[in-house]
This record gives sequence, C-alpha cells and structure tokens, in this order.
Amino acid sequence: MAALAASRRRCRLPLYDFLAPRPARIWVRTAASASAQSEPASLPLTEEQRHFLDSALRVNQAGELAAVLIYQAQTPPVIRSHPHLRPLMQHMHDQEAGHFRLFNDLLAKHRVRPTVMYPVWRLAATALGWGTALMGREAAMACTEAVETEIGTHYNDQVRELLAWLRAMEARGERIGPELADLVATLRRIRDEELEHLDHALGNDSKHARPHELLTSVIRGGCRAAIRISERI
Amino acid sequence: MAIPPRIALFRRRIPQSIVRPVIVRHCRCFSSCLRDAQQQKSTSQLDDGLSTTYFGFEKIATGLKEARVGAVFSSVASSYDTMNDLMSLGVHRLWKDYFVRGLDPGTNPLSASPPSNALPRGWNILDVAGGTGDIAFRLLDHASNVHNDYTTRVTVTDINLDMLAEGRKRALATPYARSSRLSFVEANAENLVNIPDNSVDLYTVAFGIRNFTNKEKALREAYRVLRPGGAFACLEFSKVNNTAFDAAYQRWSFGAIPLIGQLVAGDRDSYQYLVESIAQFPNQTEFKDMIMDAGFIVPGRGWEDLSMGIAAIHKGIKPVEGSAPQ
Amino acid sequence: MRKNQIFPNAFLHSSANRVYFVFHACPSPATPSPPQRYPHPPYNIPIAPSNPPGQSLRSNCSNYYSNHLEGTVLSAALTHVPALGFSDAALRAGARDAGYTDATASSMFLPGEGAWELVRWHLVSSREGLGAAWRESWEALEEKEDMAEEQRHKVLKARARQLVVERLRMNTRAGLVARMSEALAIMAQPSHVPAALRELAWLADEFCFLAGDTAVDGSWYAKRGALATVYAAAEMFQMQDGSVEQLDTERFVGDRLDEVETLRKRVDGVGEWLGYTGWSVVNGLRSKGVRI
Repeated sequence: MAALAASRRRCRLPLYDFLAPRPARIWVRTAASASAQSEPASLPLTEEQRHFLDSALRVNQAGELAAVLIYQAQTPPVIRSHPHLRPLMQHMHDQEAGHFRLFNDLLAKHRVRPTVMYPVWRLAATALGWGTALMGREAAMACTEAVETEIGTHYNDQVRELLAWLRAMEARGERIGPELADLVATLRRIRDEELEHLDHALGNDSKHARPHELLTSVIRGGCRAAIRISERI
Repeated sequence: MAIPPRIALFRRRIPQSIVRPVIVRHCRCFSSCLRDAQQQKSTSQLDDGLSTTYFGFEKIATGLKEARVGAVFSSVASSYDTMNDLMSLGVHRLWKDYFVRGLDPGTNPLSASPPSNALPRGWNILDVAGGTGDIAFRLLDHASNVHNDYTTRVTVTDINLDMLAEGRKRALATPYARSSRLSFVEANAENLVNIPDNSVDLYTVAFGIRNFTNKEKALREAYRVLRPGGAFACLEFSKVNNTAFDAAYQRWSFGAIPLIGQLVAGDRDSYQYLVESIAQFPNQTEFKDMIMDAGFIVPGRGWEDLSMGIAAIHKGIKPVEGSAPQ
Repeated sequence: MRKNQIFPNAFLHSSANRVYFVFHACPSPATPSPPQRYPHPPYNIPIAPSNPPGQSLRSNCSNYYSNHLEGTVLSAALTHVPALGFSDAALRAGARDAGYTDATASSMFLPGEGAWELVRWHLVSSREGLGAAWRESWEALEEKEDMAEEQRHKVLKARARQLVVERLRMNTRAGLVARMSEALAIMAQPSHVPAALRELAWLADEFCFLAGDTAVDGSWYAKRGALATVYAAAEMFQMQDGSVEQLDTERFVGDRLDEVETLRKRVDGVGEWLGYTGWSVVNGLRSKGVRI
C-alpha cells in the first residue's frame, strides 16, 4: 500500500489535450461552403472515439495495477529460492510501476473514471502473484507469460484501432494532433516492454511449469474476462 | 341557337386537361385515362432533356408534377379524412393533436409582455398545404381554450382550390368561419406571393411537403416569411426506425392501401401515388439537413418520431439577428 | 493562462444528446480561470473550422447554433424562474427577452419537457460556474510530496467544503431557493431521474477535480459518492433554512463533511489494521521457516 502511494508521485508527462472531456463533435456551418483550406483542419474526437479511449485507458490502468501487484507479491517467494532473479524482478516491477504512474496521470488529467472493480482486481492480482510464486519459479514465470501475452495482445489491438483512426483522419485531410500521435507511440512502447517481459518469462523456463497448459489457459481466460469487465464498468 | 359547325369542332378539340377538374369530380373513372394521356405527353417531353422529378415512383417532367398532384388531391378532397383514416388507421388524428399540443400556440394576453409591445399580439400562423383546415382548427382551438388567446390568427394556404373549398365548408361548423382569425388563401408554397417577409410567427405544414415539387424552394419561402425567432414545424410521413416493423409497414402500404382505396373510394391510382410519395420522401436525417440548409436552426436532435417513425415532426427556428450562421 | 482568450465555455457532458454551450465574452480579469495544473482546460473546446473537406458536417449532434440558441434562451429564462417557477411561462419570458418568440420557446424542446430543461440548465450552468470558485492557490494535492496523508485529507476536506458552500450559494444568488422544491419534484419524475442523478455525479466529480484530488484508485468512487450525498442533503436543508445568510446550511455542510471524514478514518483504520495483522502473520510464519 505504501509502495502504491509512493508510485502516485508526479512525473512529467506529455499532455494529451485531445482527450480533454468535450462533447460530441461540433462544427460550424458557413454560408460559403467548402472553400479552399489553407491548412488541414483539426477536429475534436467523436463521441464513439472518446468512449473508446475512456474505456481503453481504464482497462490499461487496471491492467498495470494488476501487473504491479503480481510482481510485488511474486518477488519475495521467488527471490527466497532464486536470489539471482532479484534484478530481473526489480526491473520488471519498475517498468510496470512506470506504466501504472503514466496511466494514473492520464486518467486524472482527462477525468476518466477508474474501474469499479479496482479493489477486486487488487485482491485478485495479489492472490494470483502469491499463489503462483508459492507453486515455484516456473509457475510464477508461467503466470507472467500468460498475463503478458494477454496484455500484449490487448495493447496491440488498441494500437491497431488508433492507427486506423489516424489513417482515416489522414484520408479526410484532417491534421493529426501531436498528442494523439504521442499516445500511439507510448502505447507501442508499452506493448514492446510487455512483450519483453514475456520473453524474460519464457527465458526463465516458464514452459517447464508442471500444469503449464492449465495454468496459462486459466490465467489468460481470467485476464480476458477482467479486460472485458473493466471496459464496461 | 345552333352552334356554328366550326366552333363546335373547336370545342370538341379543347384538351381535356383544362376541363379536367369538372369531369373528375363527377366521374372518377376518367382519372386513369387522363393519366395515360398525360403519360404519353410527358414521355415525349422527357426526350427533350428537361429536368425531371418523381411523382411517386414515376419519373416525370418537373413542370407536370404540380398538375398531377393537383389531380390527385382534387379527386380525394371530399374524402380526405377517409383517405387519411385508411392510410394511418385513424392515428393521424392523434398525430395532429400531438403536433398542435407540442406547438402550444397562443399567448395568454395577461402574461407579461416585453416592454416594447404596447398590446399583447396574438400569433400569426401560416398553415401551408392545409386546405381542409385540420391543423388550422386545432391551432385556433388550442390558442383559444388553453391560453384564452382570441387574437391568434391562422392563414390556411393551399394550391388546390378543391381542398380550400372543403376547408371553407368545414370552417362553417367552427366559431372561426366568419371571424378575422381564419382565412383561406390560394397560394403555391414555393412562391408565397401574398405573404410579406418576416411576418409569420409559426409556419406549419402537415402531410403536405412530400407533394411539393421543389421542397428546398418551399423551405426557403418558409424562411423568408417567418419572422426572426419564428418556428417552422412540419408533420410528415417518414421512415420507420425499426427494421422488422418497417417490413410489415411496407407490406401494408403497398399491398393493402391501394386496394382499400380502390374498394372504398374507387381511386386506386391516387392512393398508389400517395403511398409511393411516402417512400420517395427523404428520411429524417436528410430532411433535417434540408431544413438546416434553408437557414433554420434545428433544435435538439432535429426531429421527433411518431409511432416508431411512421410520421415525424421536424422543427426549425429562424435565427435572430446577431446569431445567424455566417 | 487564457484569461484574455474568448473561448466557449462548453458543458462537458452530453446527456441524451443535449449539449449546452455558454459563450462568455472575455472573462473578467478578477475571476480566476479554471485550474491550470494541466495546460489543457476541460473547458476549452476547439471549434471546428469551416467545412473540412470530405467530412460530413451533419453528424449525430445538433448544430452549433442550436446550442447557442438554447443557451441564450435558457439563461434568460432562468432569471424569470424566481417569479414564474420552473415552467413554460418562464421559458417563454426568457425567449422573449432573448429576442425570440413564444413559438421558439414551444419548439425548442420536446412537448412538456420545457420545465425539465430549465432545471437541467440550472444544474449544468451552476456546475460550470464552479470554476470561478477555484482558487489559484489550490495546487494539485499530489504535487506536494512532503505532505502527509492526513494533511492531504484535511486540505481536501477544507477545499471541498468551500466548493459545496459556493455551489449552494449559487442557488441563493439566483433566487432559486424558494423554487428548489419544484425543481426536485421535476427531477424526481421517473423519466428524469437518471439524468438528474448523472448531474449529481458530475457535480461531485467537479468538486473533486477543482479541489485538486487526482487519486484514481478505489477511493475515487468513495469520495464522489460522499460528496454527492453531502451536497444532496445540504440542498434539502437549504430549502427550509431561514437563518441569516443561510449560515446554518454552511454549518450543516461542515458537520456532514466531518462525519464523512470520521467514517473514512474508521474504514481506513480497519483496513490498515487488517493489512498490518495479515502481513505480520505472514512474516511471522516466514521467520518460522514456512515457505510462503
């Protein structure tokens, strides 16, 4: 809990003005229609786009919360038996903590509400991390593998959707705000870091976990369900 | 006195379209023959590359639409209520009641007036294509009974003299027949010559605008005659918003209504036209856009669906100086 | 700071596709601008320039001028509400003041919804006007890293109290306290209840945002729920408060916030105790050699 409070420390972040709460797309009608534009227009987001981004950020924050807590809970049992894994666990935890801070700031700035299931996910993530760590290093790595696979896929889908928006905006001749482009770049970076965690987990014998298929499929199913729930509420 | 043979010959060659109104009222069976005659005439004109418009599903020269629509309404004038009852199963009365209630015409003379006005001024309402006076009577009743406003007046215009005659006849049963509050004027909605600019508080058109040849022109005329802050209100058949119900509605419209028209009123073609003109009318969003294009401010969503979209009420407000769109 | 910039003060949240815009001329230099912690202001709405190529202007929502019309007429109508109540008569008087006609007042909204739209306008415009109650000295609570948790809560409570009282004072300033029971009756109609509750939730969110609370964890809901309850209770109290300058209402708000604070302390205390006890047990077992 103290670690989480510390993680709420401010950090300098690029600012995503495009996400500013605003109503549905507005426009001005002019009598002289469609005269030549000196520069491409920059329009606010539509209601659907804004709704998508709200739920995307909400899910991302919940996901990073779960990741941080899983690593926090996994670290003591794993390090007790394998002290050489301390730097790796620390590195992964710090990266996740950075992501968590980023999404916290985004949510606060754009007044997006967090998911109602926040305390439930806290408990579940702590229990999952602790449980898999008690089952052994391989099981802990298998848990990491499953979670990172799902999260990586999830971020990939978001990036794909945003890139589709950017393409549509370019096709319409609209100017893409720097903030939106920034967000896409940030999500790509985070996705790559999550996939890097996946590689670490695979490199640490996650496939050797005894009930590997069962464990990973259960965890992946749970992650998918949690993502779907967090998107809505 | 015997008619000289030459003149008799001339009289026999008078085109039937001129004496049509008289003939049609007495014998409806001519309506189909007339339509065939006019169709031959119209196809030859189409080849000259004139602008065309739709009469139901039929493509005709623009100049002919007015006459054709006139023919339809002349033939149904006396049984206009029956026609509406058949087409909407009596619900049109509810729609019209709701339409007028929503407009809430009339101002209580005792309510606070702005300092600029010395005396409370009743509304000046223009009801276009409202020949038989359905809406006009409701408007006047509402103003008188709900707001105790006996100065609000309604001008009913229609392009069809038969419909106006029917309206005048029905007005005799109301208290407004010989008062200055109700007048019947023949006018073309696309060219309201008798109505000065910026003079009308409320412009209503109920189940009429789909028959206009040029709706955009009519909307611009509405914009012209309304005073700043005045309201345009249109009640019209529109597109059903539920797909399943729409399928049933289409079957009813195209299957049953012309048949009922044939059986009850003996005029299948008029009812066929009416049903086709509903299908040809733009949907709610498109019509809202047309209203906005004419310069009106469209409040809220832009329309209100009645009976799941079978009818829709579209409203527009003429902007006041200083807030008009550039 | 954008003090000299003309911008539309837009109402952020559209409910039932209704979006309001209020256009202010340059805000007077005396009134502070909304919080500038983040350079984006939630109140700044970039207006789309004319006809972007290839884009349909006629999208889902009503047009720009429709919103301007509603804003003008409703704000004028609100000045008549003390005399005429939340009713169509007030709406008509407002339309006349704004240069429109009675026909406009009837056609602007769905039949029978005029009174509700007036109430909603009052709720939304007051919520937006709360930005003026924000103080420049109110930095983000999270930025003060040396502040203890308790100190942070105390500061938050004080700011929240000021904001709630300010919002209640808006009711008095607009002369609407006598008409509040009418407004509540309209809000209590079943078709309006969801929208009214949504407005209350947004008001609570506005309180938290302006007070500088940036926590987005589980307490997000608790804080907003508490503030919404306190505000709703205080508004009911205000309706029958006859004290001088409604000081009793302010005292009421203070008392309720104190109760919320006490409750929070107790819940947090229980949580903390459970946490510490749990960890102590785990660590004790670990020290005994149990591999957990």
